[in-house]
Amino acid sequence: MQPSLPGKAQATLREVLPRLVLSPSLFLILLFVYGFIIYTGYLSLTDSRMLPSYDLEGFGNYANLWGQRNWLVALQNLAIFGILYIAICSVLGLVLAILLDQKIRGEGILRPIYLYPMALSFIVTGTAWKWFLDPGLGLENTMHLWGWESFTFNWIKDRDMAIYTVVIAAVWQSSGFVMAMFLAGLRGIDSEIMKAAQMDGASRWSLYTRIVIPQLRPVFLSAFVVLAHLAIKAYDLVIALTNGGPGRATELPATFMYSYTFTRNQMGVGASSAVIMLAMIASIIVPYLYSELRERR
Amino acid sequence: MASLTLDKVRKAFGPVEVLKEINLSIDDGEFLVLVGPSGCGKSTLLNLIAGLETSTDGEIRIGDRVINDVHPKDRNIAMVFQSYALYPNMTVRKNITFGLEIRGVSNAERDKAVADVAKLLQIEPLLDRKPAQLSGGQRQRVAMGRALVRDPDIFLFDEPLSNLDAKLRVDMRTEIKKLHQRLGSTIVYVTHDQIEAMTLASRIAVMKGGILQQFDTPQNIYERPNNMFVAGFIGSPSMNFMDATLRDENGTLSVHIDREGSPISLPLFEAPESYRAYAGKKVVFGIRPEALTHKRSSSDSADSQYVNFDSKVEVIEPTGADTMTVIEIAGKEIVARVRPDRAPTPGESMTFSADMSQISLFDPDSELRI
Repeated sequence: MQPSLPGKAQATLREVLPRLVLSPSLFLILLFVYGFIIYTGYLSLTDSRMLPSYDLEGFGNYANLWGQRNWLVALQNLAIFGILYIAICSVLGLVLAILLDQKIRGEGILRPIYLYPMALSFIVTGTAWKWFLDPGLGLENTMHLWGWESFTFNWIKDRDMAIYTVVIAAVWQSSGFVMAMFLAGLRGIDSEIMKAAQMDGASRWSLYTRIVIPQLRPVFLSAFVVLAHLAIKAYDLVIALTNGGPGRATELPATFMYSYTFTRNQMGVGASSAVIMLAMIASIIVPYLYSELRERR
Repeated sequence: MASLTLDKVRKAFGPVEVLKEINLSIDDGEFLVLVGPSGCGKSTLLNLIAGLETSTDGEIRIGDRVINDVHPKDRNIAMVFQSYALYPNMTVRKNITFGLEIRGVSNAERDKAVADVAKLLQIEPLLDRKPAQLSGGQRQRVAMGRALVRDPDIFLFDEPLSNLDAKLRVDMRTEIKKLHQRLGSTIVYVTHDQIEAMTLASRIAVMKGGILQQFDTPQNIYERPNNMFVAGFIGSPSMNFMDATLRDENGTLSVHIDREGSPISLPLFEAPESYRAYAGKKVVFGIRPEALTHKRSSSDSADSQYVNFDSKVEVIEPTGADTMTVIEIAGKEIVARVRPDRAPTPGESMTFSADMSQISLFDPDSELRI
């Protein structure tokens, strides 16, 4: 076919149109995501207090940040929360997935039941668990009404135990999602491998521990990345569930960042904590993306 | 090593009957090939023998032992799967020894067993690699190694060559045959490829629709197929079928093919008695391409009885060794196998010879051999 002039114009349009359509969103993302990342990075090097100021003062905010007891508490809480959240979600998700993979009847009904909490906002989860765990309203009260007077479960009011209630609520929300990931991984395993193992005489236990679970390594990695960045970003759940309390017992880096930046007039310190969080997440996501993209090639 | 007997084995999934009364029996050291089109139940039958599925009815015996309710791992059977089913997270060595390890074989014995098998299959340099680093043919060898190392009573092969390219498939076929000759093991092999069945088997079981069509030696199945399905399935290019009438002409039976203009009459000089009953009736005349050649006379080969007829040539397909010549008789495309130097040109008319000692006649209604 001879390329006529309108044909040529059409071809050019076909090439330009996708870029044209994508450019507003690209512009917005560049400005509001990457632009403000840079802006936050800049603010962390200034003497901003209540309002942004543009007088650079070097790394003073970072030194200040690492001297704050609140920040160290927040990091310690993040470590407890992150490790337990990721570990329990992975184990629970894997166990649920293996149980659900036994060709049981009603899988179609059970799967969405486990998955459903993921559809809720962390605010809803947090509020619901706040009521459920409240000694005066929830579980403890119900047990007392039923006659088990000595029952106590007041972790949410306990400075040392409150962080674990955050773990419970977060696990409840996410383990169904992790289960779905593992279930997809299990379904991807060649059924002939299972048969071969059966003929080799593997028991159910060794079938899973020696052959199936090692093959799920990529799923573990994906689950880790998803859960780890959720853990580092965790903010709304804590706000709804404990609001950082009792005292500062369940403060996490995200809540620390918010309170320093917007309520304690320490915008420079808040910005520097935000930069530290960005670095934490990037150190997880960037290697993951790198390995994923390299595999695709 | 052991014999294998299937006695009235049935398998049904709910109301769907996938295997109907299969009776098979092979001796120690035999190579049984289950062959048939997809969905004929051959893989199900193999799974029954392996114990991966349980039969609805009937008895499966290895030697004298009934194994219907024996767990797969206790049947002393090893299986090579179509996808090879190697454990991707283990090295080749681990793959081969996993079964032994589970059975509690000592380290030293395992090492020796791996070394022997690796040497036999020439996979020694691959032992420390992962399956993902192997080519298709190498994976195939490892899968066979995993089966061999256990020294089982019976080997099961489930379409093991179907994932290999054509050249490698032929090589591996020869290799499996050599291995069988060397080890003398009892093998049950499933394939949909009739050439594999013919070349490997000591006995073939042809299946279709869950029914065993014929169970015999390759040569018998080729020369005396039980029915039209077996006749058409085994052999490539497949057997030609023509509608014909069996006529009694002064005591000599002849196959009469109604063709516009000039009917063909092919006399049968040594007709078996069973043909008599069909005198004057319609039959299906079956003849393999190699029995239908360029003009020859009976002096060419003492056992043959050549009858000549003329036909116009439609298409020729040279294969090098022979030229497949397509002619049309009574609306059907018929393939004849002609020597290349005698090959005609399309459109030309030529005299063909049919070797009447190598024909088959079938009942047009029951499709069974007469």
